[in-house]
Amino acid sequence: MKKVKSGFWGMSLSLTLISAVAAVLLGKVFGITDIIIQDISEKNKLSGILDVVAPDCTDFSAYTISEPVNAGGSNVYNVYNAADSTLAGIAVESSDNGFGGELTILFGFSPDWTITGYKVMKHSETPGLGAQVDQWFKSGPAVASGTGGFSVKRKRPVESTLVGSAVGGNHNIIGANMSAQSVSLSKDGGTIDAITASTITSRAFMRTLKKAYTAANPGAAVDAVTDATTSATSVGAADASAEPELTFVRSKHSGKRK
Amino acid sequence: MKKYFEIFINGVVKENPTFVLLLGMCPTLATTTSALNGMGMGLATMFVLIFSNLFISLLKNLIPDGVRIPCYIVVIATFVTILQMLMQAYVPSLYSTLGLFIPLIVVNCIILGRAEAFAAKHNPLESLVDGIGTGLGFTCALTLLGLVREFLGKGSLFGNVILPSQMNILVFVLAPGAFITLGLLIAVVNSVKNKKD
Repeated sequence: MKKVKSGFWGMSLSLTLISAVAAVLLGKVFGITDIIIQDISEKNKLSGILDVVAPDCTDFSAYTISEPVNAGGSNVYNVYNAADSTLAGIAVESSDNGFGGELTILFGFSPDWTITGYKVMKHSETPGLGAQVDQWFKSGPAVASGTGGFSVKRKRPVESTLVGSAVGGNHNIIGANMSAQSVSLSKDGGTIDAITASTITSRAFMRTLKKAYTAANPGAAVDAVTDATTSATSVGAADASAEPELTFVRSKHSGKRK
Repeated sequence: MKKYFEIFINGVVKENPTFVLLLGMCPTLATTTSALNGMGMGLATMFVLIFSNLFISLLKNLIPDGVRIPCYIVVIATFVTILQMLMQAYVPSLYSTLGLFIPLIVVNCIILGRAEAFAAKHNPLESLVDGIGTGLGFTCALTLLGLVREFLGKGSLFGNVILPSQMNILVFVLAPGAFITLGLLIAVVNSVKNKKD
């Protein structure tokens, strides 16, 4: 076949033809995969909600989940026991700015506002540092000790000060009751240890938690939201050096490298 | 047969896109935080490279020189989008880790470079072999880079923890570690090559 010349018609026709074939091909693949993708994201959300509200649950059909209610930018899902339609728990998806971008977390509360679990849905935190947020606040010994706040302030065990370690320390919030105690970081006057070298991420996590709680329980919001929320934003900027920033500086002489 | 083998070896070793040509540095440095991520990115690029090479070679007479770059980009972008949808549907966990870097394969200079330098001048079969060779070279390089960074930074190999977390050197998982590791690996590859010559 002779090569098509670079005239007006040759160029327009060949580019149009190639684009048209590409469009048809993409449409076909989209048709096949779209259903699967929708299905996966729906399933992820459902299993995520039950994961945080009823972590030990294996039978998903034991619960029914209400349609999300939007409250103050957070999505609130009520989870009911399928058998007797009583409230089993509340799942709230809320987000705030983390260190590297938006931090979206799904929190689970029992009807008496005890934290039953959380799941990080989306984050862009520093790998190895802030990215530990998905495990940090649910690993180690539980900080919750009845009502009235966490009175025991333990000396931190050595291993918890090492970066990358999630054992020991005072940072497991599962089981803490939002309506009975104030949940905030030790840096902000509370008792929960922030992620080592990731104060901004930890503060973002706490803000997200408070946002979720106030969205789901607007009446009792006043006791739970401590002044840590306001101090976090003002201290945050000065504390920016605590985490290494990922910045790529591109050289002028990069040539054809990318 | 010998000719095809030579094209293949050329892509994997002699003109390895990462260690020799230093092409596609952006995804190389960003996605190799673990061996599995590096391998996933390498395989994704290989998939696009094989199909784009093959189809650009098949279409080379249909594409006039004046609009060849837009045509190549359309072909490459089509395969990248197909790959993106397939990954999202069938390997969602890998898709969520690689995320942004999948659509960025479109502007990966290895792919456009091979299209322009090889596929546009050779027959479809040779281009296909070149795609496999270069893709495999890229995959091997990324896996190796990820392996070293993951071992030093997280103390694990392919996700299996070997060293306790106290012995981790976190910087290797972060951006500076990528540059250090890449520099050292290029030095090793060069010294091995020099010995051979």
